[in-house]
Amino acid sequence: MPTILGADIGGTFTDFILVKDGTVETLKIPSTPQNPAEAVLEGVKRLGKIEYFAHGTTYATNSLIEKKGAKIALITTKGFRDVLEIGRQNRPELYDFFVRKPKPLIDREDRFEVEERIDSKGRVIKQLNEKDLKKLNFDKYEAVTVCLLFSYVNPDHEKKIKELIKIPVSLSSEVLPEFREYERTSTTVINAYVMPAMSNYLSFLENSLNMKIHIIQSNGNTISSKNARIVPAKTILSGPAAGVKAAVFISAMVGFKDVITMDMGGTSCDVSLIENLTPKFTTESIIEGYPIKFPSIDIHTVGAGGGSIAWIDEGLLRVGPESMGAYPGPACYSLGGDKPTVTDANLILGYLPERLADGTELDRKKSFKVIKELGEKINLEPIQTALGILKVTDSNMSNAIRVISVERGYDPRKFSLFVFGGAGPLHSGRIAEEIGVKTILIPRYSGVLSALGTLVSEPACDFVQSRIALLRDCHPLELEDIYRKMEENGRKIIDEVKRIERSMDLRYKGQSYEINIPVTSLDFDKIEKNFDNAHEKLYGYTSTEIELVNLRSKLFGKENKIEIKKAEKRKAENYMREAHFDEIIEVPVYYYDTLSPKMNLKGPCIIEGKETTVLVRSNETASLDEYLNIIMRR
Amino acid sequence: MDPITLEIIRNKLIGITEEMGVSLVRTAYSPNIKERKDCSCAIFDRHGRLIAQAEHIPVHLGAMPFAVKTILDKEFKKGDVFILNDPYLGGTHLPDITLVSPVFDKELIGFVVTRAHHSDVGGKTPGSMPSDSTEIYEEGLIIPPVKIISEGKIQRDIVDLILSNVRTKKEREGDIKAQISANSTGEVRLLDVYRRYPDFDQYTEEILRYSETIVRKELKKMQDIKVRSEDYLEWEKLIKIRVEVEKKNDELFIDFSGTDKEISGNLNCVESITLSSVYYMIIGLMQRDLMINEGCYRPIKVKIPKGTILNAKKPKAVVAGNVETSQRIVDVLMGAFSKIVPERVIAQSQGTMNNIIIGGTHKNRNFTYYETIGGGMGASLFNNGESGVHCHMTNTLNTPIESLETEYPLHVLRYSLRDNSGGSGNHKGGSGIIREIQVLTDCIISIISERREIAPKGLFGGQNAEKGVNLLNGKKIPGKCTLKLKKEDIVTIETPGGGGCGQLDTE
Repeated sequence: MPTILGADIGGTFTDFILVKDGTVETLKIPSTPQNPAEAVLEGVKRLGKIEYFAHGTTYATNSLIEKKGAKIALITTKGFRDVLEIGRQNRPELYDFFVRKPKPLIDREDRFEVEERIDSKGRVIKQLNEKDLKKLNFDKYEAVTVCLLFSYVNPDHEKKIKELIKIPVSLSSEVLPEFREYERTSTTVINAYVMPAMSNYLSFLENSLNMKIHIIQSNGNTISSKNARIVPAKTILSGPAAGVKAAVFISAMVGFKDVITMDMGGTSCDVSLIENLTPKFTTESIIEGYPIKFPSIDIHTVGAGGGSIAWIDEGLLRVGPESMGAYPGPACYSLGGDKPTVTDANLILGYLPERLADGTELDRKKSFKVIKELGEKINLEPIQTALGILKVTDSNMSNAIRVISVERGYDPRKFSLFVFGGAGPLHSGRIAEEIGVKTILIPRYSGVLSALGTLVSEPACDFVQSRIALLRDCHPLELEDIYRKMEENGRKIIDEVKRIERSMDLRYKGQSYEINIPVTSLDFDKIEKNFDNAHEKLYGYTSTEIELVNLRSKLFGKENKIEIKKAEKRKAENYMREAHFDEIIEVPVYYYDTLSPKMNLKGPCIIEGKETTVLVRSNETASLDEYLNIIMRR
Repeated sequence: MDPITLEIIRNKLIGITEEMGVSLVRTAYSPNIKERKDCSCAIFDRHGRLIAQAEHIPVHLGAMPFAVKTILDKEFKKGDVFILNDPYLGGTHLPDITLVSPVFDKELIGFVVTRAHHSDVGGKTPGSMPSDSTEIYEEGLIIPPVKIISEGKIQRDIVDLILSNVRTKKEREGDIKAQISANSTGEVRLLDVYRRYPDFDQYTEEILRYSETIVRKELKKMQDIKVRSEDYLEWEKLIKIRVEVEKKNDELFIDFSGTDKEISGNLNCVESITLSSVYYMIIGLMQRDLMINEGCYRPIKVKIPKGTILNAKKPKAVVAGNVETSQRIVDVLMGAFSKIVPERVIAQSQGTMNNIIIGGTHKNRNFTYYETIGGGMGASLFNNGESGVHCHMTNTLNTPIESLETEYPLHVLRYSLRDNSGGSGNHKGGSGIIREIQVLTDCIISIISERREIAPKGLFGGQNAEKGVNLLNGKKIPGKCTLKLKKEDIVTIETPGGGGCGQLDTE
């Protein structure tokens, strides 16, 4: 077994997980936002010699959020340069008179039009006016993006433009040959926008480490850093996606198949669904208000975390949506936060220690003061107020999880809850009870889960090609040909292709949404039957005239097998602390690091780890598996 | 009253309306429901008072309570579900079909309601949005409140009657089923909450009080004053909409007396649509999160004289009242509130939805294409107005050009922002849109658009925006018309911009 290292750059910390001969070492280093690579290199240096390096990075995301991307131009079909700005013509808030859409990444004066036109069948109905194009000067741009109408059917004009322009050009027909002009343009533009920054970052890392780097993408699979440079927008959600991949890995280890993951941190909570050890995917990600059509793991963010502020609203105790974030954070951080937060409530109830395992001091008096002040407004004692804050928070979270599950067609009661993130395991018991979930899984290494996710992800790359026609009007050989072309490209990206998953996005004619159906052979009867069944299951009915919209192919490389040794038996250590379980009582607090496999703990008790604190309530038990994952039951 | 339980119940009720919404959107068939979320879900108490409504579509805001009110004096039992779309009996316009389920524990505990825009309910034209209707009978099948489910049993004869009157049976049946299932989700969840909290009724009373208090407090911050405002709809002659708003202490008196009479066209509104526009305005003015329920509306008294275009009588046609007149009501109210709370309003926005319906036969297949086009939003004292968006009472998505050209014999020549169409000023109004479509076959076009004669006004010295323009092969055509088109004709719709705000600093 080679020594392998996964690293994930989060907001405050850069997390590392090293697996060497089955033993695991974790490390957290403060992130270095100026040059995130510094923290990465520091971590690698500290952990010694490695043979495999996988990396999740928000570098592309940050340059998008901070609007620090490249200066780029856009070329469109004449009459359509504003498609990028108009978007889908809707406004993001219904009842806000002052609402603004996110500013387009390319200003109007940098959007150019050329005379040309291709129709929906791919026929040229107006030749590309090359003279027009030659008049344009692109010297002041770092790159040019081209998005012409119907280029996914016929890319000739886009290709011709690439030949004629001297500076780097990215074509929508290469980045995302998929129909719907606004989303295609948006994806192509974002990709070009984050490209130079990402490229510099990756070169710097490659040169410094002098080894191959595997970058995790939003779809939860890796690609080489060389290829990540060409499609950096595919890495935008890499951190959260890696977290979900780790959840799949650990769920499989423990023997769970269907889980709802809940990653609750300081400001927000990420929720996703895993069914039969497969995450749900979406091609409708929206980042900072901009759509990105690349397939990514479907993760829903709810604005509730440890930093959410409790307040009194006309006699109601409310929590959020405002948050104190990490700075100044909850009152107990002593960084100037003067508002009662969820973390403050957890602290005065005795659920959190006054000194966290990582050394952070929490000031209980400060929490008590802000919560007491809040309670006075509604005539409640501080303890009752704190309990109320948690009840409201957990009820809000439960509502959100329920709506997310129903929206995707699932009954949450059939799932287990997979909980991680600093704040998650303090709340999971109550949330599980509220949504009717019986079992909770809290992973070992929950604080570096995304880093672990980078290690358990296999290389894979997604390809798409739109082809809009009634399925019955297509010839299998034609479709086979389209798949082959995608796969030829794929083989240039994935070194050792181990398997290929083909699928089709289908719909009934007249509909405007598609369902993705796996395709094992081009047997139209079978494909149509599978589509009918899927549609029936999701929407409760079937119809006639099935239309093909997209062909998709995903190529997988060699799986990265990692083995982790079973944990050894140790002598459990604990101390007693006062905490609120129905009333304030002394309960044992176990140090997570001293627990052994197959231990069973009965609530009420608390398990305190380096990265998280687990609350086991009176009606719950917590048992540890051979790898020290915690399984809680009610 | 326990402030914690109160908040939890409040959130649960909102959660139920959201869950009903996602269930409906997920299982519905019509693109209107599925993609544009043109639907609403709400919970009422046993007295028929609105206690929670998901924030889906503004035009349904005031209309949901009317649906429940028509049911209240009827006889119903556990397991009954009512269906209705009659604008004069609890509906809005005919394509909006409403399902009301009374919810029983041992006795009646409340109602759950869904309303959704169905893409066809019969009538003279596909899509049930005729541009030239003069009576409601031309606009589609009228369903008064009847039981579609009686004591848990689907009334097949009612379903058959409805389905025989619409063009797309399968779709209608799918959409109605989706609504039934959303109602039943709401029913189960509401019962859960009711049984879990023994003092449920007292808590809902408090929730109404909570919303009421917020609105009263916000109103109290505004100056006491009586103001007037008026504006016009463009018909054979101009039609005046007039309002007098009196702000007194923590209440509002809104009186539409002086508004012109109902007309023989379809710009008429039923009372509930006018109320929806009023409520939209109030919610926008609050500038904070609000739980939408009857409490919000308690401090607001509205007078809408019967027989005016804002409170039409049967059998007047109403289909465009929803889409066009509702926008003008917001303009008029915005004008009134600009004199009460100048910092909370914006200049006039495009004030129309630019409804375009193109239909015909191509390659032996009937087609109907319906779209609405965005425009400019008005500027405020603090900000420019947004460009190329749907404003106020609607927020539907466009149809991508690559989708449109694949499905219809249409060719889009231009889709761009309209230069210099926003009113200038210290802050500039948003730009309108230019949409230019060439038809590839002989066909018929219907246009229902406004703001072709009177431009959206600027505010506080800001300039007016450009009016909208409709062109056929470069020649001007009216704001509302139905025309035969020849193959290769080009229709250009230039939508209005938004008004500017504040005098332009000339230095």
